[in-house]
Amino acid sequence: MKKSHIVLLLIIAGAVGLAFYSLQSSETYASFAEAMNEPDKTFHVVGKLNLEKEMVYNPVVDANLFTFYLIDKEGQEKKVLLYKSKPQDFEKSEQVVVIGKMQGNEFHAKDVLTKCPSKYSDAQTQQVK
Amino acid sequence: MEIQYNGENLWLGIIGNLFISLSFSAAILSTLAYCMAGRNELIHTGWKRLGRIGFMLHSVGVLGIISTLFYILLSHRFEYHYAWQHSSRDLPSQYVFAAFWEGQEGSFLLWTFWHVVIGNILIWRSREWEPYVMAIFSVVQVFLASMVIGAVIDIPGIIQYKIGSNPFLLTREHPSMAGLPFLNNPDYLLKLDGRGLNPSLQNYWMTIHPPTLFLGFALTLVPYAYALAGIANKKYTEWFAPALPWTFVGIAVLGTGILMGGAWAYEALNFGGFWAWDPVENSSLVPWLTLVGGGHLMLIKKNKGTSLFVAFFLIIISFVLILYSTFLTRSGVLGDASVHSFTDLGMTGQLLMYLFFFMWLPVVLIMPSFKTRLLYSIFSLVLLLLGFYLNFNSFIKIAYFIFGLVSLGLAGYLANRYFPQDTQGESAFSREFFMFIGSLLLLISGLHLTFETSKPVINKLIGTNYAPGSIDTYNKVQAVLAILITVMMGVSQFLLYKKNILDVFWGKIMRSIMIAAGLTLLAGLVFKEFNNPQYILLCFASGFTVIANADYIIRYLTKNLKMAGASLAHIGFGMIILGAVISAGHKKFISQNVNRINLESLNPDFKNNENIMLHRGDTVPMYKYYLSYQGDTLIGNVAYYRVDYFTLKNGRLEKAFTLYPKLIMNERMGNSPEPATKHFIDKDIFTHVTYVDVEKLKRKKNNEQPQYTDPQHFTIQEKDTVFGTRFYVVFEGLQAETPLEESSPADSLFIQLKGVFSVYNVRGQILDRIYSQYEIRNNYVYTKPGIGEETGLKIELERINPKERTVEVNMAELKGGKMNDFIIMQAIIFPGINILWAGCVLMVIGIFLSVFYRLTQKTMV
Repeated sequence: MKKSHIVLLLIIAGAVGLAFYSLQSSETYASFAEAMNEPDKTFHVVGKLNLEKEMVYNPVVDANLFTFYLIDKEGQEKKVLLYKSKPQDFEKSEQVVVIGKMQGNEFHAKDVLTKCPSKYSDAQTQQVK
Repeated sequence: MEIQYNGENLWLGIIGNLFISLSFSAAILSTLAYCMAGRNELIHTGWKRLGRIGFMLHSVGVLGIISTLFYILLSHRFEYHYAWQHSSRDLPSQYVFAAFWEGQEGSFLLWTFWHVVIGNILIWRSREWEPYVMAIFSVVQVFLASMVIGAVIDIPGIIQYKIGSNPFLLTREHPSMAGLPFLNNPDYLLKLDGRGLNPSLQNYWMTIHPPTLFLGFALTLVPYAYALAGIANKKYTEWFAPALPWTFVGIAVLGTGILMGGAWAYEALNFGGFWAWDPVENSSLVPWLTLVGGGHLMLIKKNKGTSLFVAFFLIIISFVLILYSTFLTRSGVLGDASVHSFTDLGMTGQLLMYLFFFMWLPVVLIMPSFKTRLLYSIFSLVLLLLGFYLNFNSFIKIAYFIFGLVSLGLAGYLANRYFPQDTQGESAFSREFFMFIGSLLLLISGLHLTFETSKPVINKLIGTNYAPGSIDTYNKVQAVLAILITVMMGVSQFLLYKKNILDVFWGKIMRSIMIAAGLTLLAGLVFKEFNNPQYILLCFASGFTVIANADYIIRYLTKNLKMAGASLAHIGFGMIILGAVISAGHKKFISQNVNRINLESLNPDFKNNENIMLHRGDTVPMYKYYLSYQGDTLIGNVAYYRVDYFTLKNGRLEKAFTLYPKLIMNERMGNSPEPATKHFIDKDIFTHVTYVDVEKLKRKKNNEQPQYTDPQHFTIQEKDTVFGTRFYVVFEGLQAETPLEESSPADSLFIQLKGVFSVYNVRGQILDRIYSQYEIRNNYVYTKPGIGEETGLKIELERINPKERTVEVNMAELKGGKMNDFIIMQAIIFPGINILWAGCVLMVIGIFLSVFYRLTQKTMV
């Protein structure tokens, strides 16, 4: 066995290990129900806004808190607290992905992704950072 | 009944499509001719000439397509969908390039164009390699040309598939327009204006970034083509020399393209950084990493055995990864995962074929005999057809996966058999061995990025739910690899090829280690942020590589700086890493709301106290500054928010600078903020608005009259206070006005009074003094409401009741009034980001210097 072979094998093993590690540690998409089962884990929940319920953003009190109601793909609705400013054009979003944890009956999101519909065919996602 | 449309210029489309057919068929001709030229040495020249003619015709075709499309865009021929979709009459002409490559078709053409340019240089320069290299170039062009054909293969019952997407499609024939009412109007063109270029893309970055990036993409094809020529020709290392300059020019150009993307993101996008590990960013970074690895292994002239195999693998995979990146960004598979992928044009299958063909080709070529090549090809074809037959179910997917692994294993086995092997025994303590390990580390880094980026693909293939990784997950792994790679870069410079003596090596390198360690220690004492071990190591390692390479130049190259290219490039790379680590690690949100609620106590996970609210005219302390938002200006579709930064000097506020963060209003794609950055030598202050009242902007844009709330009626006495929604009003009393007209008729009653009102905010600061006019003339009462300058508050003195000593007033507030004029913004300090930009410049200069040196050396010999 040559040294270069050993190195190559080590690297291949490292690559496979890294692949497993990255899947193991990867966050996953989930529904509110699943997020509720594991309150300590961060999930990405995909859903639609409930436009009938109120969205609260009162920057005078807190510019870093925005609350709204989201209906996930299973049809379950939860209140979401986003610890950021309200994303621009939020009401228009067709689809919303919230990233965070379930706490009690509320979803605490550290980040949100919105997908805006367009009059034409090209959709654009916008990440709010 | 067929409608005769007026004013359309259909000739342009016909010419364009003729050019498309020419470019496609000539590319096929060129491929076949060059293949024959490579196979048969005896009738070599005839076939080669035919190949050249084919490629020339192809070039004419490509240039023709591009010119026609440019003409359509420049002359606003909106009867063509591409012009309608990507430009408009009011689009400034300098953005015509941006409009050209905004769409998929245009960007494919840009890519094709660079291949044409490089291909023609290779015809002229590649000498004995020409047939092989140009055969590969031509077959790539066949694939690329097919991307803009837009023809449908329709064999009823068997197959119906659209090949490519045609840029010369008429607006009225486009599927998305079907059945729209304007189609009934024969003169629709008179009224039609293009939809226009996305306003966020209307900047100079969009003009320079895509061509640079695509030139980088195109340059990866050169070493790929040479590598395959080397395999087919059994000249396993001879191709290094001619391909080497191309490879390093590719590294420089692709690197520049990627960094430009980062600079664009930093200057004009709002995610607050230059790198966000976005799938699209990653998928162009990965081929760069592998190309760098492969390029370094090509520096070892007599490369053998495993290292040679890895060299081939890295060079081949670089081009394949470019194709994979194309697939990811253009097939729509990324979907929500990326900020800037293209939309799906239904070309997924075609893009996959393109990808798989160029993965498969090297395996075929490494087969020793015609018979095995044929067998392997037939087997692959059967597998492909079986896939169609089984509708690509999970069984066939597994079969493909196994086939891929077996092919790779087979290639490794054959390489082991035919490649020159190392018989002398290798030394682990040599420059080539360190380069070998370094290249593999780059490969690992690339594999990790590819794997993370491919999560949406994995989800599609096996039905999992993996979410895209956060910036932290990327940083964690990549930081470790960056530490190892930068250390290797410093160490390898001081190693010789073949054997080294340990003591001599340590003697040379000790100085750099000591200095780097000393500086890291010093930085640790000065900056309190130096607490994370990974961060400290990364600073040390990248600092070490900068110092070691600088030391190398000082020791050996001061008399011959022409040779310092490689070291200079290494210094640049080290500085990029160092700058990235310092600016991202020390990145500091200085915008923090001074509010009552402590967020972190609510939820320790989310300390997102990153936004600050600024009312117009208020002065708010932030970090070392005092901020004052001075209002917005709307120019066209862009709203500029003026934010003044003051510093406290000798107890007085002095203006330090002004920033204008922007909001680009865009009905179609969504309003998007653009940051404004104040650059200092040692840091940047990056500011962008995160939330503004868009409705107010729209009213301003449409010049609407200010709207008031319904007036409220109050009966008050002097010194009484009335509460509004955001402020309170004190009635100060009545003042008599002396009439200006002395000559008023004596018999008429003429009284002129004004009510004085003071408006305070909740903190008791006075905002406005409002004067409402009240006149009695000829027994008639005339009133004129006063309007507050700051608050926009409207107060009318309706009646005076002298007996009760009261007045009756009507008060109305401005809807979305000036008090409502506020922005929510973020301000971030990026320290040391100039180290990163300087590093970029040094790296590119260094690479070009080394390429230049190599080329001059060659002509001298």
